[in-house]
Amino acid sequence: MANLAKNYLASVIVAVIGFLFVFTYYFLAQPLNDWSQTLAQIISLISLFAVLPGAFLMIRRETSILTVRGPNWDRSVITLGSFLVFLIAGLTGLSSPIYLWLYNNVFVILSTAIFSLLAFYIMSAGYRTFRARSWEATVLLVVGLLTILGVVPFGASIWSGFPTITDWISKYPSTGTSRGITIGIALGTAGVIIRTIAGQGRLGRFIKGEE
Amino acid sequence: MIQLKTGSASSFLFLLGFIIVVFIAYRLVTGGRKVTIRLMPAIEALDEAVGRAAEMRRPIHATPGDSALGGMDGPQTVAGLEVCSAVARKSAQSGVPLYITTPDPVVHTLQTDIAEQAYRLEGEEFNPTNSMLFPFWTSFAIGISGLVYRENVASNICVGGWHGIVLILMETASRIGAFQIGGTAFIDQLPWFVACCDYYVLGEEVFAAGAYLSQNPSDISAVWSQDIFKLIIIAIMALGILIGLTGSTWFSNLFKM
Amino acid sequence: MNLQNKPRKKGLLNIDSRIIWLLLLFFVGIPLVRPIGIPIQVSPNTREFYEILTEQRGITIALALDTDPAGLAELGPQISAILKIARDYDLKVVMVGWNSNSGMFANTYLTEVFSDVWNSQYGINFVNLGYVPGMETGMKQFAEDIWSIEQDHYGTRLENLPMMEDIRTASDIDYLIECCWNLDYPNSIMRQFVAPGYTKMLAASTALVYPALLPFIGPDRPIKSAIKGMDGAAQLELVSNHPGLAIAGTDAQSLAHVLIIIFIAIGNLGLFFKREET
Repeated sequence: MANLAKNYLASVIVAVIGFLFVFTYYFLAQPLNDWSQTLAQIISLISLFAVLPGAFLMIRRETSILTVRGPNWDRSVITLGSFLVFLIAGLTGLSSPIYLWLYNNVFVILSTAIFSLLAFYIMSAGYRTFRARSWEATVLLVVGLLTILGVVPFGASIWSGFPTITDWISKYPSTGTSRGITIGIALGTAGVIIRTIAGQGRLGRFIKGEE
Repeated sequence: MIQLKTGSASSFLFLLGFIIVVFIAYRLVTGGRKVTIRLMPAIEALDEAVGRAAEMRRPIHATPGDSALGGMDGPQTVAGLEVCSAVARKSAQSGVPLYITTPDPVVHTLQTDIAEQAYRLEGEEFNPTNSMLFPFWTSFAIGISGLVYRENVASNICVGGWHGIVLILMETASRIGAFQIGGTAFIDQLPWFVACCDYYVLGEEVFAAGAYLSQNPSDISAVWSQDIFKLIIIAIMALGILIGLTGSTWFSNLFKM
Repeated sequence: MNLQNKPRKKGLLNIDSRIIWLLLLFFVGIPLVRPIGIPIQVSPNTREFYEILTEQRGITIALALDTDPAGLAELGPQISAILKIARDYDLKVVMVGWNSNSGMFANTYLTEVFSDVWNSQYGINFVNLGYVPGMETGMKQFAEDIWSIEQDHYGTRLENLPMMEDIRTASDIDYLIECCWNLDYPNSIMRQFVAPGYTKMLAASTALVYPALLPFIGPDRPIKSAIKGMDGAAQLELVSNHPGLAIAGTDAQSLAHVLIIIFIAIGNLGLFFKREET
């Protein structure tokens, strides 16, 4: 009995909740719609707790490196120190001047700086990729150049036709291809989710405790 | 009283049709019908990736992406974990150190289990500190780039759900001359894989890669059902184009029900 | 740094990435300090977006700030421009989001645009409902019952915010503007808000995501109109007559694109000469 509960209880919960959400997405049926709304609130609350394991694992790893003075232990000091500073600042309230200052002048700035690295990497990747090695690569090169010239004001100031061409490329060949890929991806995703609700697939097996 | 929401009929029928196809395919495949997934060069290249690392005596880095298991990213992460599992087994066989990384704590638990299980099957022991968690996307991007650069990895495997930061990892790996296999089903990230990877899986090939590696009948039946339903959609589109060319709108109006 | 300890190949085909990056830094930095003033043309897409927003005074819009700090470089100017338009046309603004940073960002941009009238107009013309957890589940819950969140980002109960009296479900919102830097959020919004018929959707996305949104944009499609990236923000600033950071940044963006064209040309010249040699 205990094994039955262990293996199948989680799967049953997933199946019932999954069916309820799918059903109430398409149908109006009281009290099912009320139940799905309440469940949605509960799931939203549960999702907040997903933050905690990440923090715990990070603290555990960094403190273990720090304790044994493992390689690069000084970086663990910085990691744990930053974590504590933000935690204490957060306890003063999300609207407190200290937290807002740290958030806007440290967190946002650092995140934006890291994302801005993409510009540099796109530059070097573009230099390496856009070469006319073959017919297909030449087509890619020509379309890429037309698109680059069409998306910025500089291109429009050289010739007003560039934005029109870019618009045509975006609206027709690019959109058509995107649609095809999106349909495939949507079917793939739906397939996995349907099988998970039915207790199959790797996720379904994980939920049942078989992996 | 049960009432269908306005405008939902056509999408509900599509969903119902797809569920039926999925289950028929599942019954047929698990009942013994042989369905093969075509050769995937990116997956076949995993041996080359591990072999290269063994020859160069450098480690491998693998990651199932920067997505979680929940939501719409989950299936891609699952496929990425299948690839990581295959890489873990090959690494254990070859004695190559393996680093696996993720920004999600639940995926971290799963990937550690998967790696330990794969190593155990080969009679080896996986060092759990090599399964790393870097919470939050931007710190994940910088963390794994730094890891890849410091450890001078020979091969970088990054198949899974990727958002905006994968190029940072792949460019860093390119700079150190790492062999790269990657892929995702997010359209906006596909160009980076084409630009940086030696082999790649794009779009729904990510799901097929997971099934190709696991060879689980349930997973293979899912890929087969997607192909069948895609053929149905193509037939409907062709019919729609032919009817649309006559100027009639009754067919397209069916899908607005 | 060449970790493989092999002599680096020279020539047009193997320019060191660091040289490319330094030149990019130079090309982007100079126009930020000394603007060139390349003329900006307002595209039909941006004009359509503006006309939808300004079609009628006093409508209610929800601005969903579903971005991490990384996306703010492009989305920030868009959000500012939209809020300035909302202020000009007396639109009621509900700031919300399903990203944990939403509330903070909403606070930043609302303060930027409405700081002089905060005390008199907060809760009457604009509110910051902050972060709603649960991603798509949270969206479903919000769409069906906005009051389920009970309080705004600052802890004020919704019954103490006069404008929320008439905003109970997503049907009470005329347009939901999704400010996104990846596809997860707009896809979920389309499923939970648009497909069930609650409200109409507009999008303000980064340039990276915009091509992936194109199949969904159109008068009879889920997203009625959309603006993309910094150039979309610059065009919106221009058409609404509120010049700001985006217009200032387009020169740098243009020069960066010029640089990539130059390097593509160099790479192909190198390939051409190499073929000539062989």
